Amino acid sequence: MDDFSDNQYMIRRKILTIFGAKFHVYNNIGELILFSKQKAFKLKEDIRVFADESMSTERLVIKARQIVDFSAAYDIVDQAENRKIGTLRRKGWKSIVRDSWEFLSEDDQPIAMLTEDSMLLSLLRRFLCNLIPQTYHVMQNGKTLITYKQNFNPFVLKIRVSIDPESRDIIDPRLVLAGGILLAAIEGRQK
Amino acid sequence: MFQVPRSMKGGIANCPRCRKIVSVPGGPEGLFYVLLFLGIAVVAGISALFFAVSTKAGIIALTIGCIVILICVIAS
Repeated sequence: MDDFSDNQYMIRRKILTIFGAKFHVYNNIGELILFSKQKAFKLKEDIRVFADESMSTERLVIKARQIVDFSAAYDIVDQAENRKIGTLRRKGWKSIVRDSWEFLSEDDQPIAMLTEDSMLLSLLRRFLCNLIPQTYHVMQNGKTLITYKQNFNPFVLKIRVSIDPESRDIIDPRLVLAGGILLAAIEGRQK
Repeated sequence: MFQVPRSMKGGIANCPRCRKIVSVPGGPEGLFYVLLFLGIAVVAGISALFFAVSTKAGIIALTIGCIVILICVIAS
């Protein structure tokens, strides 16, 4: 858990990868804390997240429950503890007009809801120009716990993750970062 | 043995006794196989129509159809 004590992170997705994708997660001072190489042509999504680019120490596993991504649920496992820490479930129908995900506890109980910043902007992104950077808010009872903010850069996808310190008891930071990787991997591909 | 919510089928659960992860059998793959079957049926039907016109057209239609299905499966 030591690597996840910061409240600010940066997730970077390398766009110029021929097959699959590469994700780098940096902490507040720019140190690489997680690295992932998403395999292409995998029927059921199974993203392995490592401590660094050497890929010797596996930290997290993001595993889809089903083949079709439309309303898929992704279980997040901490490999060091050999324990599931939670689940992220994509709300397929809602996401057609506005990206929506649910954060679930390890026993599948809803913790918080992730949604795209505004309906108007999400419609503009879908039907006019998908270069408008996305912002997602994770909310519980009307309070914003986490913000994922995409930087404007058509060549490199960068998502800045801000965690409200008070939300650490509600959502595990590992789940937050897995959510960021999924947003970059799945929502990026949907577009 | 322990009970998990139905929604967790095909996923992973923490065993309440040993605290380790276990795979939950089953999963909502029905939709995928229904869509795949429909796709194959549509490609077979269209290819048959083209085969009736000419063998070459049928082979081209079947090849394109198979490629489309393959792309859809990979992108699913």
